[in-house]
Amino acid sequence: MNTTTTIRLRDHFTTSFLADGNAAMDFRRSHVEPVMARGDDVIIDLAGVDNMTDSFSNACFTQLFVDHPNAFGTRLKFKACTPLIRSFVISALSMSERDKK
Amino acid sequence: MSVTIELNARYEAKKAGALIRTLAMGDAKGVTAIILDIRKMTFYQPLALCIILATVQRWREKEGKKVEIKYYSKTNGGSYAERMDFFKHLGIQVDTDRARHDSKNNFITIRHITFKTEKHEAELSREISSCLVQDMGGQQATDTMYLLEYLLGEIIKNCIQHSCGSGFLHAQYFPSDGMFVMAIADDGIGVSGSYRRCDSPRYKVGASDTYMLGEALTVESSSTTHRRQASGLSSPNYGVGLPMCRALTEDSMGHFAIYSGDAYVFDNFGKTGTVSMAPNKLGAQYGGVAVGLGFTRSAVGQTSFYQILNEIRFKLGLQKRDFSVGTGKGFLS
Repeated sequence: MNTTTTIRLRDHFTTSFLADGNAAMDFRRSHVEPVMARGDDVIIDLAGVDNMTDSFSNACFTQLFVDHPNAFGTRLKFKACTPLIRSFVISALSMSERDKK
Repeated sequence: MSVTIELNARYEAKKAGALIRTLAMGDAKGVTAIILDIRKMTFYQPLALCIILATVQRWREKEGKKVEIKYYSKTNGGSYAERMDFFKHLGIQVDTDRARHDSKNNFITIRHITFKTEKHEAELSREISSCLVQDMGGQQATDTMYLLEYLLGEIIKNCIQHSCGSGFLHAQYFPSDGMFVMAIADDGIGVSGSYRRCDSPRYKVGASDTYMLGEALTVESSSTTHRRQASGLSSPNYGVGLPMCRALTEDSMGHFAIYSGDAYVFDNFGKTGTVSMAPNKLGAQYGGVAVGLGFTRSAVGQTSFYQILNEIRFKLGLQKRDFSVGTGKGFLS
């Protein structure tokens, strides 16, 4: 049985608004990719995050979906999203589909 | 050779091009000393204030020119500029007996944005936007704050990531016409310079600044977008920030202005029937990038911010309307 690791974004950023694309990329590389690489299932917990930019969302989530194209809904899940944050995740997923084409 | 540049009394956002053409006198061949006369100043919008500061910074720090400022601090215009910290950023110490912190939540003082800015874009955007919406309430306050910080986050990020210089940021709410206005202007390498520096395949040797500005305003056409495609993880840039900002100002009956090199765009979406314009020649060179954004307060809050974002993503072709991810299956809760 796979291990599930929950990663809470709010623990890694000082504000509930996330805007820094470079910080998003660093976070993905240092906190999400290693967990994915060792085979764990990942839940990204967005509790306490109330807004972000598309620059952050694309740097963090779109690239994650591109690098792990079949993970969403199987090994990769999101929880505690507000409607606004959910829209960013969905947009990132849509952007990753464009990247595949 | 010395030159005196006398500025007009008023520079609204739509007059930024005229301001840049006037300031270009200081870039004439052989000019080593500039007297900048702002004594007529009565009202300069944020974009004008930021452009003046970035230009003076370029003259002094990059080009070694001597710049003298002629100003009045006791007039209405001078007092306004002093409250914005405009004189402070020009290196002028103005004595005042007026109490600070009297913005009535209508403005934040001008901020200097550098690679080493104490606060990164998210913190700064949150601080500014929460200050400007203090007199609002309910969902409109929340959605206005989200819109403000989204726009600020994207333009500050652009300045930090692309300019190779530093910039000045200012944001203000004008109760008289119900407009939130924000601007950032830097003294960096400009739009064309960024494409050239990043070895973007979209950069064309000899291409005009208007052409390159058109590229920058096109979805997935940022100067660093190719790095993502070329090397997977090296760049986070998907090139949607500026197009999204432009579309958001259109949706909220505001304005979108950008000046770089010999090119500019000024969309005044407050006028009925206005559509996004193609980049035009400016008739002067603006060394870095200056961006001005505005939106109408009353246009926000009728629809949730996420619904506005979704509509814009559909419109820009970033997301299909029928795109579904199975939200009922617990993948995304």
